Amino acid sequence: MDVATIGFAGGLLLIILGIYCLAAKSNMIRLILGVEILTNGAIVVLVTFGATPLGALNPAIISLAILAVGVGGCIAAVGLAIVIQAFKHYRTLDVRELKRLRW
Amino acid sequence: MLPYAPFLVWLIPLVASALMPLAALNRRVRDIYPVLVGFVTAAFALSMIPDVATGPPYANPQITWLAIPGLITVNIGVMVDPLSVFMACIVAGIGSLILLYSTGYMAGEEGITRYWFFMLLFIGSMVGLVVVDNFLWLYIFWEMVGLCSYALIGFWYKRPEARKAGFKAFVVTRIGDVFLLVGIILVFLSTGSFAFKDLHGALEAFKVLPFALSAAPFLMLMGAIGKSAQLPLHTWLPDAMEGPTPVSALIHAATMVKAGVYLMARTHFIYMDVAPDLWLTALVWVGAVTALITATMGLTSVDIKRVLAYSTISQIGYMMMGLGLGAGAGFIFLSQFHLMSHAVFKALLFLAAGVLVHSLHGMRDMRKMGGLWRDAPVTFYATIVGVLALGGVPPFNGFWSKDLIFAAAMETGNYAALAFAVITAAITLAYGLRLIILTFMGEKRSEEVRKAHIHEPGVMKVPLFILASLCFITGFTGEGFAGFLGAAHNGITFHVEPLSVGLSIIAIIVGALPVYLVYVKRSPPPESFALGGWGAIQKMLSQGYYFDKFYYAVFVDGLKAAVQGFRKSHPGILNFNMSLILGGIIVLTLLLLTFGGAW
Repeated sequence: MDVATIGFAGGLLLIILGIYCLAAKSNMIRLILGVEILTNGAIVVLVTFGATPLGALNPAIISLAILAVGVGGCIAAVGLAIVIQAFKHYRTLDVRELKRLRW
Repeated sequence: MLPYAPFLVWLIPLVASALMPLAALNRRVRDIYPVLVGFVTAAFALSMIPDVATGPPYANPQITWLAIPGLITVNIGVMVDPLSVFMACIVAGIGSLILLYSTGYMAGEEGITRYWFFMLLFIGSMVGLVVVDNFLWLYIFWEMVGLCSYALIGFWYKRPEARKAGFKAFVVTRIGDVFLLVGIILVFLSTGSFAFKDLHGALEAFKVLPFALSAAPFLMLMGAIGKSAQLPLHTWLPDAMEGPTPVSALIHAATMVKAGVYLMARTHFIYMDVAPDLWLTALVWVGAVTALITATMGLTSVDIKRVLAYSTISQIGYMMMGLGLGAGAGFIFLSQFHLMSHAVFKALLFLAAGVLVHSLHGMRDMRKMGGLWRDAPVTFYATIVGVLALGGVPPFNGFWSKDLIFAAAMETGNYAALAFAVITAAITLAYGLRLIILTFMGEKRSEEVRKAHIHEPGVMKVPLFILASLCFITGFTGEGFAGFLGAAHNGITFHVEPLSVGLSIIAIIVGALPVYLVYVKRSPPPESFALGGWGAIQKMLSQGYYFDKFYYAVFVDGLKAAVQGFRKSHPGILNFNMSLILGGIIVLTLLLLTFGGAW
């Protein structure tokens, strides 16, 4: 197996793990961890696609990946802020309490 | 030009808006800082005038913004040409005056930091919108000004009407934006570049077949119709008057709503190559019909700011008409001249109305006002200047710019459009005079107005004074302005036709006489129009020809009823939704593995 396949499989595994976390857990902090795993899986796949046969990496892909890491940090920050507000409001971290926010 | 002015003129307000929370740490700095930023921006914008006054070639500095080797290179560049410099000066110049006015109007408001942040962000993105040289950045700034508009309409978010109005503005303009985006994508697909220049070059060199682009002009026209509140997407602008008055003056009268006119003027070369006759006709008639219909709505509105909002839509209709008539002759001077006049006198009218609304604690009903001229003399005279300019009375700027549109309609032989324009001019003066009489003349018609203490702080009087003097001055700059916008290079000269001046005078008399009879002589009295056949017409006009009712019935209530069926599939439980997504991914992967062997 070459590096690209391993990277791709690893990224896919992370994505599935993340989605599983989102599907099975109801603690909001765990959900944010799940989102982070999911986005990082996507970044791994992205970087793998940027690999060239010579082992060098496409600089455009790298810059996109770094951008995505930064955006991931922002997502976590905003998500945690929402969790704190939700916790203040409902006094619980259970995401099922937010059900009433649906349309 | 000041160093790096084409970039700094929009970067300064954008960066300054991000630093607003820091400036808000000190109460005094918080109120001085944004005004200072506004005037610095205006200085940068004005400093670019000498560079473009001498004619082409114009500077087009660029930097590489995004490069994916072999795929796409997006340069962000700025155009320093007369059109963009002119628009930047309007935005930054009037913007700085309105920021100064805001320090008086918004004093002591809750959430003032948020207000300053969005105002600065707006000025930065609006200047950016008019100076960038490619569609991609134009679209980004286009959306940013939309966001600022939404946030500032809903500034008093605790009032449900304000929230709803912001929401409505966002949704309705989005319809136009989607069309614009599709148009931009079409242009990109056929030329492989976002830059206006590349598109122009490709069209000139016949690299692009015109029919590949034939849909693009009309898609972009839809975008302009949404942003500039033309028929049939005009319903958001009157509601947008729920925002603070300086916001109405800056965003919903002087600048953002002109973005559509700017877009049409900037990209008119596409249409001239692709479908000139159809496009110009569409532009003239969108403008003419909008101008007339919304002017009649202004006749019956009793909300002082809504009258001005209808008038804004109507005047933008004139600009569209002017563009349609003028672009045929290869220049965009007509619409831009009226744009400048309108930006000045409508900002003046809004700021004057703002003085009253501010002192009356948000009361905007003209039926309850009256007799205010003694309490607010400066506002009174400012409103008179504004209304005379709006109604096209010489020697104010509105007369000169409207007159040129009449003359262009006559020269191109478009007498139907000319009739629309003249009738609209008469109605415009009528509702303007009605506004003055209802607001300032007669007796005070309610207890709250009698009790109110009208105060005109200095920071609010200075912008009124400057704008009122500009109403005089800019009217006489027509010839120089035509040269500045490059009309002279096309062999077109500025001239005043005696026949169109005669038409203007007739429109003034026809507009002023009924108002004099009804509101001054009271024969027939205004109340008599609420009865019988007139009553039905008045009801239809004050309901805005039932556009809103129709949209609500079809798009809001109709769609709501249609999607109720799907509601059960949305339990609101995240785990359930994610399980379905996971299941979907698994099924798709299996399908790919089974049947996707071909690749």
